[in-house]
Formats: sequence, C-alpha cells, structure tokens
Amino acid sequence: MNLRQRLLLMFAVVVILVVGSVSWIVANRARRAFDQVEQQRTAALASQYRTEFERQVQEVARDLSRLSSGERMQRIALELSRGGDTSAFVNEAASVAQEYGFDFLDLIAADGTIISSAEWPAHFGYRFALPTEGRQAGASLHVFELPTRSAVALAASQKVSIGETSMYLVAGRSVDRALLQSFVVGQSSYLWIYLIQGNQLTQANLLGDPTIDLSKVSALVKSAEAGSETSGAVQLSPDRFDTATVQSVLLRDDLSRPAVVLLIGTSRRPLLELQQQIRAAAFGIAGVGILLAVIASLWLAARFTRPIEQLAAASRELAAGHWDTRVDIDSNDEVGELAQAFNSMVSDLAENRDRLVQVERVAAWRELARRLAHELKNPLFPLQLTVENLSKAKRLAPQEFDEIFKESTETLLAEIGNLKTIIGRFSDFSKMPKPQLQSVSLNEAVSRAANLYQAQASQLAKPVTLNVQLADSVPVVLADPELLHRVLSNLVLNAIDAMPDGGSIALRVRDDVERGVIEVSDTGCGLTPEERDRLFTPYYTTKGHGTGLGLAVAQSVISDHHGSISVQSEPGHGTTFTIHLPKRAAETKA
Amino acid sequence: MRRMRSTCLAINAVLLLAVVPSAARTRPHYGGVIRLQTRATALESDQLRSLVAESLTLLDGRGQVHPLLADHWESQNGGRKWQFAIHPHVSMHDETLVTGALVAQILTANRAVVPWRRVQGAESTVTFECDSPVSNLPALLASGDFAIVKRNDDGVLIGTGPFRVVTAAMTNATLEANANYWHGRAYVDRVEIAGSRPVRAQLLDLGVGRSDVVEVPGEFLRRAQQDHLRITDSAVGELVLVSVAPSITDPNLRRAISLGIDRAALANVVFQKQGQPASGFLPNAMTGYGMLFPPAFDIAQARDLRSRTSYIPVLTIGYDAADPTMQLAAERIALNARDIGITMQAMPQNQSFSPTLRLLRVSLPASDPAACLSELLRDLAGQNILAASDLGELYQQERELLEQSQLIPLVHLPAAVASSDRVRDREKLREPRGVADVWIEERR
Repeated sequence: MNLRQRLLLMFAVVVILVVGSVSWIVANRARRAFDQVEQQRTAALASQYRTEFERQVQEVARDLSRLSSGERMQRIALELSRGGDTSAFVNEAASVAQEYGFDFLDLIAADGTIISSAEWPAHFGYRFALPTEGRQAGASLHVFELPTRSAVALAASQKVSIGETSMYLVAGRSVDRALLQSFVVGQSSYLWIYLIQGNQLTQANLLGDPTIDLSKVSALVKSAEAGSETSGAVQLSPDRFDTATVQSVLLRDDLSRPAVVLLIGTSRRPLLELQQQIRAAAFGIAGVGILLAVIASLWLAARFTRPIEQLAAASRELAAGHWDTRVDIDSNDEVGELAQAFNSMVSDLAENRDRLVQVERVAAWRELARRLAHELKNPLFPLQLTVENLSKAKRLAPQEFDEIFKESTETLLAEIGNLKTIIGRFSDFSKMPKPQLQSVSLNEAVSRAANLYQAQASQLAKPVTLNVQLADSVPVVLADPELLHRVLSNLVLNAIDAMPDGGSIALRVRDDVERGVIEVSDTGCGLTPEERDRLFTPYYTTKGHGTGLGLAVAQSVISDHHGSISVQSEPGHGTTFTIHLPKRAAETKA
Repeated sequence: MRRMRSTCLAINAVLLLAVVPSAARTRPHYGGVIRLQTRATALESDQLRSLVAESLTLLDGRGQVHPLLADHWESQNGGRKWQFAIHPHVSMHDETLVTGALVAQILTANRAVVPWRRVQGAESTVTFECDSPVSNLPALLASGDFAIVKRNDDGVLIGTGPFRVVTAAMTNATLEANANYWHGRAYVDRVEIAGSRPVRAQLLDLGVGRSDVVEVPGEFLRRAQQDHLRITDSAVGELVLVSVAPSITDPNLRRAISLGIDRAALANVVFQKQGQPASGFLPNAMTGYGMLFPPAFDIAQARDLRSRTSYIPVLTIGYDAADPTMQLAAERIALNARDIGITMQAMPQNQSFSPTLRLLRVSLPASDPAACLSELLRDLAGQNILAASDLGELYQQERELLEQSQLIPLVHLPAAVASSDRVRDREKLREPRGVADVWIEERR
C-alpha cells in the first residue's frame, strides 16, 4: 500500500469514525428517550390491567354475593342448620355455577369439607382451605384443583350463615383466553398471561394473541415468578420491526403464592422505524462524508505525495545513469528542502563520478602500461641478446658468423612473432566485435564446445574428462554463436589449465523459466576469495602464461548479451562458472 | 215414617248409583296402551325381552323356583342329569309348537357358556347332562340368558311370552298382546317402549304424562319420593362394580385399587344414601354371609400394596357417558386412586376407547344367590359358577373371586319403577314381566 492509499484510508477511517460516532450518539439518545417513554407507557398499562383484574374480581364477588343472598343458597344453609344431609346437594354447585356463569363454585361446610364442587364434582368430602385458614378473604386470585391439573381463577368467597350454622361459597371465573379477550388492549400494545402451574414452564400455560413462543418470554416469567418484575425486548415475528418491549407483572393468589404473570407489551415498531430513519440518515451523511473525504484526501494526498513521487522518479533516472537529472520543485516547505538536497546530491555525485572515471582511466592506462611493459619485456630481452650476439659474431669467422647469423635471425623472427602475437591480442581486446544475435540452442552450443575439447583433454598426460548434462527442454536464447563459443572455449581451457593433475569438467545446461543457464565446473584446486574477486579484471591471471584477458573478454561478451557470469569456488573444492542468458523473445523448442 | 223410609231408599239408591261406576273402574279390564321408558336401547332392554321371551322356569322375588315353560322336572345321578317336561300346547309367536327338541335346539344354539355338557330334546321333554352335579339347574334356567327365544330373518325376537314384537329399533319398540298366549292374554293391548332415555328425562316425561312406567335407579329414589311419585320397588337390585382389564396382571395393583375405593362415599353421596357399600358381589340380604367379607376400604393397606407394585401404568376408567351418576362415581374412584398414588383418568366409554377399568351398573338378575352369581359372572367374565351346592360353598367361591379383584363390587343399589296413575295393580311391576299383569284405566 503506497503513501497515497494510506493517506486515503486514514482520512476515510477518520471520517467514518466521526460520522458513526455522531450517528450512534443520536440513535442512542433517541432509544433512551423512547425507552423512557415506553417504560412510562408500560407502567400505565400495567396499572390499567391490574385495575381491570380487580374489576373482574369484584364482578365475581358481586355475583357471588347475589348468589349467597338468593333463595337457593339460603335454603341449603337452612337445611344444613337443621342437620340436613349434605349429600343431597352434591350436584348443586354445578347447576348453580352454570346459572351464574361461574367456572368454579364450591359449597363448603363450616368444617371445611366440600359439599359440592362445580369444577370437580367428585371432590366432595375433601377439605378446602377456608378464608379463615390463612387465605385472604374477599376477592382475589385463587388456584382451584382439578382432576388432572390446577386452574387459576378470579375468585371470591362468601360466608352464608343461618343461625349458628355457616356455609362457605367460593366461586371463580377462569383466567383463560376468554377472560383475556374481554380486556381492552390498546393499539400497539399486547397482553399475555402466563398461568403458573408446576415447576416447569409450558407453552400451554401462555395465553394471549399473537401467539408467541414461550422461550422468548421464559426469562421474564421466571424472574417475575421469583419476585422480580423485569422488562425486555421480544421478537414477535420474523419481521424485524415486529418486536415489543414486554414488562412482567406478577399477580399472587389468596395464599400469596405466585399465580399469574401478566406480560404487558408495547410495540417497538415506532422506535425501530425512527432508529431506521436515523441510521439511514447517518449512513447517507457518512456516505457523502466518505465521498468528500475521498476527494479531499485524493487532493491532499496528491499535494503531499507528488513531490515525493518526483523525487522517486528522479532517483530512478539517476540510477539509470542520467546524471543530469534534476527535480523541479518550487516550494519552501520540507519537501522543497528535500528536493534541493536531492539536486545538490546529484550534482555532487556527478562530479565525484567524473573524478572517479578519470582516476580509473589513469589506473587502467597504468595497468595497461605495466602489462605492456611486462609483455614486451620478455621478447625484447632475447632480441637484445641476439642483436648483441650478432655484433660480436661479426668478428668471428664468416662460417661461424653465418651459423650465428642464421640462428639469430630465427630467434629474432620468433621473438618478433611473439611481439606480433602480443600486440594482436591487445588489438583483439580493443576491437571486441558487436554480437550478431540469432537464436542459439544452448544445448548445441555446449555440445559443440565439449566435442571440440573432448579429444584434447583426454590426450593429456593427466587426462581430463568432460561430462555434458543437457537440459530436457532445450533453452534457446538470442546470442552470437561464435562469441558464445569463444566464451565457453575460454572457460573449458581455463578448467583444463586448473587441473594439471587431471580431473573432470562438467558442462550443464538448465532452463530457468526466463533464462538459459550454463554451468562449467571443474574439480581443480579452486580459488581463494581474493582471486575470485579479481578474476574478471582485465590483465589479471593466476596462470604463468596468458594475458589475463580471457575472462574479461568472457564477461564483456556475456554483458553484451544482457546476461551475467558469476563464479563459485573454494580452495580445494573446484570452481564453477555460471552463465545466465535471457531468452527474451526466443521461444523454447520442445 | 213411610216418607222417611222412602227418603232413605232414595238416598241409598243415589249412593248406590254413585258407588257402582266407581267399583266398575277398579275392576281389571282389557285394552289400552302402556308406555315404558328405559335407559337401555329399546331393542336390548330387559322389558322387551322379559315380555317376549320365557324360560323353562321362573324365579320369584324370594328365590323360589316356579314352573314356566317346563311343567315339572326331576334330577338323576345326584344332579348330573336333569329332565324337564315341557308344558303342552305352547306355541311361539310364529305358531311353532314348543317341543323338547325345539327347546334343546334353541338352548344349544343360544349360549356358548352353559352349565351343561349336553342337552337333548324329545317330544315333550328335554334332558340336560352335566359333567358335575348342578343342583340348582332349575334356578339357573330361569335366567333370561336361557330364554326359549329365536330371531326371524329381520332379527326380531320370537318367543312364547305374553307380547310379541311389532316393531323394534334402538330407540323405540312396539309390542302387541299375544292373543293366544298359553297363560292367558295380557290386559293391555300394546306396549310402547322408548329406549335410550336418561333417568331425568324419564321422570320429566312421567310428570307430564308422556310415559306410564319409568325406571327409578337407587340414587333417584329419594328425589322420586320427595316428588311423591308412585314408586314400586323392583324385585331385583343393581350392583355397581369395576371390571379390571386382563392387561392389569399385577394382583397387588388390582387389590390396591379395590382397597382404595371409598365405597361409603359412593353409597352415601353419589348414590344418595340409597345404596349399600358392597364388600361382595351379592347383597347380604340375599346371602346372609356378606358381613363375613373383610372391609373393602383400607387406604393404608392400599398404599402398602401400591408400594409393592413395580410398574404402575396410567389407568383409565370408562363410564357410561349417558349416566351422570356413573360419571361422578368414576371421577370419585379416580380421585381415590390418586390418594393412594395411582394416576387414573375417568373417561366416557365409546367404541374406539378401551379403558383399563370399566365402571358398570348391572342388574342383579335373580333372587337365587347361586343363580344370580352365576349369571353375573357369566355375563361379566364369561365364567361359569355352577358347583355351589350350598351357601358355604358359594361363599368360598365368591371370596376367591373377590381376592382376584378382577371384578370389584362397589355398591348395591335398590331399583324401582315409577308409574303413572293410569297403571293399575302397579305392585305387579316388581317383576320385569309384571307389565303383562297390570291394566290401564284411562282418566275421565
């Protein structure tokens, strides 16, 4: 990631954070405000439903009062006061309950035994906990026992007395769906009732519309049952807006046991819709902000990075050898100073380079002169001696002079020949031809060199073997075949020279994707690190004979082919020369 | 003085004129229709069967055996062989003469469970051969199960009784007097039987004059008396009992259920103090040994037995949905079961529901103890109790049956009928076939 992208990202993140934070704060404040309103509304609803429950209970109490003062109950009480048989009234409660619209009605003797039960006729004779036995007298919730379950009811109790004989009536109306439907539930509000029966929560005990899964409100019911009335959000349907804030309200029965949990809900749709609007606005603002941020950051990044990019480009130009490269930045800030420093540095570098070139040139000439002197010195000395001999021989007899003259002449010619050879080599080096590029198979080039020197190497006093390992897929490069052959010949001859005691030379060809690779390894004595470093220096040689130009020429040739040549060697472990030649446009032949 | 004598004669004459029609109204006479109602279906009701069909013998309310289609009988080989002489000139409703051969044929075809090994008929006699002595065979043959009756192609009963079937369906049946009845024609011309009528509906119909004879089960007796109905106690009572399905194989569980049922509460409250808690199948008044049976309600022992039961399934007790009293009793029994730790659910019986227990109300079919128990068990359990030659042996057999707790007796109930004031000689209604002996006097 470049500097411009980083700057862009940084600006974007900052803007998003700022816009997001603002949106969150606004949404949070709005939600809190709504929650507060909802709590007030839910509290009002809870109060309303409590009142409604109480009203229903009072209605039961009124009806029961009407029943107890009626002729039928008075007659039964009178019968009982006269010691009448209670069994005659065993079916009384059922018919009376139907008449008065009670779901539950128990006629109870003064001793607490049930005379007649509408909801469980077979329960006669069993004991019923009377209001005097710990129950709250009057109207309240009551849990009636049924054959297979218990049922919660809005209940009232009444004492009917004739003389000193008393009878109790306990009547109730079931807390069920019908009762729930009689409650007026406002728009955007809900009412569910959970009937507490047993230790386990069951779906069947959850009444109300819309039907919801018990698991959604079980926590509220449990906490209410434990005495803690709490509220929470409940998802009513897959529609994400269809949620409600539900408040639990615990109602206890006449023995102060948890009997019913009212779950009063208010729709969260308005809040969620407002939140949605706020969120949409925030996203819109954030989007615009980000767009502006991108534009601004693009402009700013461009402003900040353009001089740096100019500097980078100038550096690349400089690296490519354009010593006249300059940066044209006209600013007074740090970047401007940097540009001036760069320009100054380039000027210094150019001056130093020129100086260095001059120094190297002088050094090269000196080396050349030293080498020429060394090379020329050898043939000149025999020449001098021969000429001096000839001068001395003038004084000898003509026959002897002729012999000496003949020998001297031969010697002179031979040495002059040597001089010519030396001069020729220097001439060749100075006149290195330009490569004539054509497609060359490296396998063929290596095979050619190997074949040329195979016989020679094997006929040495200490023979040298040549091993050729060609590539399976033949690398083809653009090269001058003759120059390449000259390089390989030089490397092979050097290797032969490096193994006076015999050995082996390995010629390997490899295909390295974009380049062809040739390796020439010998098993000779190897090179010291100093020798290795100076190996490609012109006129440097480790041999007793030679001009020291072979490897310099090889490097020059390979360089002219845009390739590279390197050497790996350690003393006693042989030497390996590696040539990399680019394939360029040439294709690999199968 | 003469004027005074004349005046007295005139007054006497007027009084005589006033009294004579009154006396004429109380004299039995033929004619009229009597309307009966029953809780059972009309087709299967005891009334219909008892008026249409007759057996070889007849048991009276005191348990005495009387000849009916059989004139007389004698036993041989210590009660292993019995020969009954058929009353001559008795014809069935389809004019078929009743002979020993016909009796043997009907008895052989009618029942799968019979107390004899072989029955053979001759012209005027029928002979029963038994594997073991059956000393009370004449009493057993009084049972309606051994009535000499057959069905025609339409399934209509054809017997020898005082009435023959005109129409018969589930809810209504009409009988007409058999003019050629061998024992003399019945007084009423026709009997109309309305079946499947709940007791409350029957009483209402009687009250508004839509019925002449209705059933009054024990639990309604007090109310009927309070309402001053004309009650005639029935000679045969009823037994409320629980039949345990064979799938309940654990005797401890069956015994626990039996001991856990509060029969006194059932008798006193559910059956309105008209019944007697039953510790045996037969009422003490019939056998005299009823008090020898141990108390039937012992909740502590019931809990102990239940605790010894390894697996207790959820039990169901079925009751007749048309009988609210039986529903209440079933729910009470379920409540009693809960008290000893057994989960039991009371459910109305229907064809698709097979409860583990059935609450039944059955008529005690005969006044002879052995015959009654025999018929009871034959009907309820397909068992044959024949060997009881005396009460001691019958007691042992009944005790063994009680210990099995496959059938659990609960309450003995009286039964009665209530009749309208059209029905005369209503005391004859004590017997099921007494309708043939009453007569109707229309109101003027």
